[in-house]
Amino acid sequence: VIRPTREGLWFLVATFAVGLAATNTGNNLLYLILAMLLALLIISGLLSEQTMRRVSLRRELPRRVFAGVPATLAVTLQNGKARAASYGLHLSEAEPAGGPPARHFLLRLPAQARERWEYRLTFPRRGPQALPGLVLWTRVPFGLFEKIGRPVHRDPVLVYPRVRALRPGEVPMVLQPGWRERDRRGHGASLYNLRPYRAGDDPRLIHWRTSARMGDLMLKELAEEDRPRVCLLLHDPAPGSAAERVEADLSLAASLAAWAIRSGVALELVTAEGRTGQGDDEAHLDRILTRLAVYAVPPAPRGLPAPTAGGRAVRITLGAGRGAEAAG
Amino acid sequence: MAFPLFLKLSVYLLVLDGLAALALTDTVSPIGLAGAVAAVGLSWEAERLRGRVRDYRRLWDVLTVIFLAYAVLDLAVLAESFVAAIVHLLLFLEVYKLWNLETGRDLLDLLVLTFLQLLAASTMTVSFAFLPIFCLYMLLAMWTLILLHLRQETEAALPDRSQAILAETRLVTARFLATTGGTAAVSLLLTVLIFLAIPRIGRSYLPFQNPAAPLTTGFSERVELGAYGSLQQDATIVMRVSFADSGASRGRVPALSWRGVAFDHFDGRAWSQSDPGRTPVRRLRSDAFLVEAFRPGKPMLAYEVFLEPIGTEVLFAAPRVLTLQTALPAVTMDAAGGLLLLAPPGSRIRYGVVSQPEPPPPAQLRGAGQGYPPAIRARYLQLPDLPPAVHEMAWALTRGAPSPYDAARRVEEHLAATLRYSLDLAPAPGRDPLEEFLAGRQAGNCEYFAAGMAVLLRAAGIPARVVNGFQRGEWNEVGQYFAVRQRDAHSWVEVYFPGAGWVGFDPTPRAAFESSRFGASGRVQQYFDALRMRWNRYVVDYNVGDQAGVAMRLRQQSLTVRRSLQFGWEAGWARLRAGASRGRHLLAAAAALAALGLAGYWLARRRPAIAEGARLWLLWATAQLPPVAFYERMLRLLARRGHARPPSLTAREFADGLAGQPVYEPVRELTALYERVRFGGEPLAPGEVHRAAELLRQLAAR
Repeated sequence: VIRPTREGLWFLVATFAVGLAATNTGNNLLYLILAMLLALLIISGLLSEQTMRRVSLRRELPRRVFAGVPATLAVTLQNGKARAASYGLHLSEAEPAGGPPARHFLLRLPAQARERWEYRLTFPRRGPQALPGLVLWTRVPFGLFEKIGRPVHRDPVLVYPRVRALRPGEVPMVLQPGWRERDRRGHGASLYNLRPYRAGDDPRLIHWRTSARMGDLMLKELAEEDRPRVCLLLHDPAPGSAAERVEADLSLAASLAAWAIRSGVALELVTAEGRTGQGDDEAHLDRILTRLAVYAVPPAPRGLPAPTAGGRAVRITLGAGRGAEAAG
Repeated sequence: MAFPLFLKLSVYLLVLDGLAALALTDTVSPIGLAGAVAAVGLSWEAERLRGRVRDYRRLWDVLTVIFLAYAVLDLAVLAESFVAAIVHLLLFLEVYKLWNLETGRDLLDLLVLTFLQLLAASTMTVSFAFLPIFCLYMLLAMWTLILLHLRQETEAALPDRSQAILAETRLVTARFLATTGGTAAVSLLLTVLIFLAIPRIGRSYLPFQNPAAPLTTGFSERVELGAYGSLQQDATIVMRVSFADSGASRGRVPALSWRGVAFDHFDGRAWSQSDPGRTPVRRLRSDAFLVEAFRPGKPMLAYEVFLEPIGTEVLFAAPRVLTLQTALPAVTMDAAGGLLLLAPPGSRIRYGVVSQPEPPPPAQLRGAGQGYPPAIRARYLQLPDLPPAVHEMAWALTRGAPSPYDAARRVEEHLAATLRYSLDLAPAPGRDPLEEFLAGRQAGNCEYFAAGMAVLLRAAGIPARVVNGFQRGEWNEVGQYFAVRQRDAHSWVEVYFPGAGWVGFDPTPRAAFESSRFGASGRVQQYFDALRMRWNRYVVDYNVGDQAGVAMRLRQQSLTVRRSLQFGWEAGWARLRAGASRGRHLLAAAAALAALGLAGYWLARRRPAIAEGARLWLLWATAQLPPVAFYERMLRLLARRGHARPPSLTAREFADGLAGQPVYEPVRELTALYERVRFGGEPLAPGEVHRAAELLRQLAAR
């Protein structure tokens, strides 16, 4: 898109006036000045095209984007031209939450050079969304026209519910951390026994200090440990529940899930749409957050599938405002 | 060079260029102009002064009020014209801005003011000096606009750091200057092309001009003996004459001269026209005037005259003008066959002429007889009371001549042979100037020779008149035209022959006359004058007729090229069909293919977007053949970005492993498509093929 600036409009008016004067008087020197003004218009178009040509943008998205929390994005501009520098480049992206867009100005980007720009955007709502898109534009060379590129990188982004710090009373007792050690060999962290090293054993488990004392390689045997297993039951809201409350409860669920998994709890999310299975790593947290991000409120509450056997359960009824409760 | 310094310098140069443009007009006196230049020069240090002088702003407020009062007076009384008053105001504003330069806005205002100065100058001058000023303006304006724009952008985007960034960023480098200089050159070329192409609606009228220059040339509408002098030495060019055939025809008429006005009445001291009446010349087409009828058997001479404003309405042309072409509204003719405009033009004019200057053969003139019409006798045999010596000389010279033509030749040869050409004429108080010339001093300039011959012929009963005009002028080899100068002003004689009309005779000794007038101007001077001529011809006087000419020439040339290409193609094809062997055919085809391949490779190297487009097209084409080609392409793209798929991972595991990466979404979608095709045995629908291509494009762009 090309649109005239305020100075550009005046320039066009002046060109028109000189054209009118030249036509009326037949004065060839006025025609010469008119030709100069028209040539400057053409040159302006060519130079702005040249300055934006082969300037590429590479966007880096944050790993997770949470609703209402500023997400840091990064863009790398690269001037792919062999010799010519680019001048007066503007880069902007609309703020999804409203308010002024993020803007960046680059006076000069030499040939073959790169420039990285980091900025923050805030998504007000959870769910799958598209980024507004980066717009590259310039007023080079004379400031008479704005040449605006099409928005690029309107990448899809899944906005998770907001994960916030939990207040002490918000975490049910069943989610409190605590490892249960069992009296048998396993793969926990505690020492169960020491025995001589045998071929095929994991050399990383050699207890060097004892080996030095005994004069033979001694191997640590670890005790089996049981992680706490918890099932987070997410009940559909009752009809007519306030949307803000539902969103607040989804945010609570996300916060609890993050807190629990980072505390070493094996968590399973159960909603009317299905179960995530139990897991205790970051990838599993992503699965849970994704489920929460795409959760859509049904017209009527649905029943929950049975959770995986074992472990305790925590219940959140969306929109009820009761927080997380220990369940049966 | 530092950015702020260069910006300031380019603005100052622009201002000086604007002043130079104004200097071409008469709107500002030399003293005023010198004052303006001094004010501009001193303002370079104004910033430093502003901090030191108390009430600096108030001082300028007072100056502004004083100038505004002067401007009102100037507009009402002092200035020569409205435009001149506006120019004075522009000058003050410019000086004011320079002394109060603070923001980028002030610099922009200065740019606008200089543009207005250029605009004002364009309406009041046609001087060749406008061209270098204009070219320089374009270069400087381009620099200033670019730098000013970058400064304003930086100040707006980064108000806190703009000064530091502008100082740090090496903007004004030799490369920058070369690039912007090159761009200015391209702009100039574009300007020329646009200038030539803009349709000229209506006629090309003259610009607002300063009042017509005073009569400074040797040419006069009255010949007064003894009143001629140093003007003949003036080398200022009065007119230029170029020929349609680049001057090839000029050789056919060796004694070419540019006739202006003829005089029939002599009072003993001065020649003048007894009949001031004029008749309008018939206009044939919109711009062509028919003057005299075509005379069969005589060669025609077509040429264009570029006449400077010399304060006369007379149009100069070679004798026997058939047609005259000009955009000026009307042409009139006086009783002696002179062509005139309604009023002296205020600036340079251009007109085309077709003449038949060659006189009838001597045999025809000898046989013309003496049957003069009464009107000719009445007007062209008139004489004042002359000293007896003049009558005696006339009788002695023409006695025994077989025809008036021979009599005229005798008088012409006698004067040329026995009298001396001289520009140093001392007046002889108390004596008849003609008698003094013929019998006393026996030396004079061309007016004396012409007057002497006309009087002697009239005294012998042969109708004659004195003609004022210009000698041929100096041939400019560079520009292929005659440059006629003030010193080429000349007088000669026309003698009437029944049935043949008026025929020119020139009694001035040619060799002496030419040696006193034609200096060989240097080659450099010729170049400059040729440039001036072209400026006038192709810029100042460019009109719709010229545009039509250019269009016709372009059409002819394109036709020629098209025909020659067509001919070349047909001839080549015929040769191939006629005799070339099969092996040569194959060789030619291979060479053509290789050339195409090379061109494609070169294009792909130069334009990666084309190469990528071609790859995508290939992909789109192949996506429909082997069902999983798109997935393989995806793997290649990922491998290039450092995400090679280990053989131990399934497609889905590989895609899941990329979660959180920018490439994850397209990979996930492509993997889903791949799994469906690969394991579901279902080919991609057309819409899915497009989607796969689009995803791959996204992947390639990341």
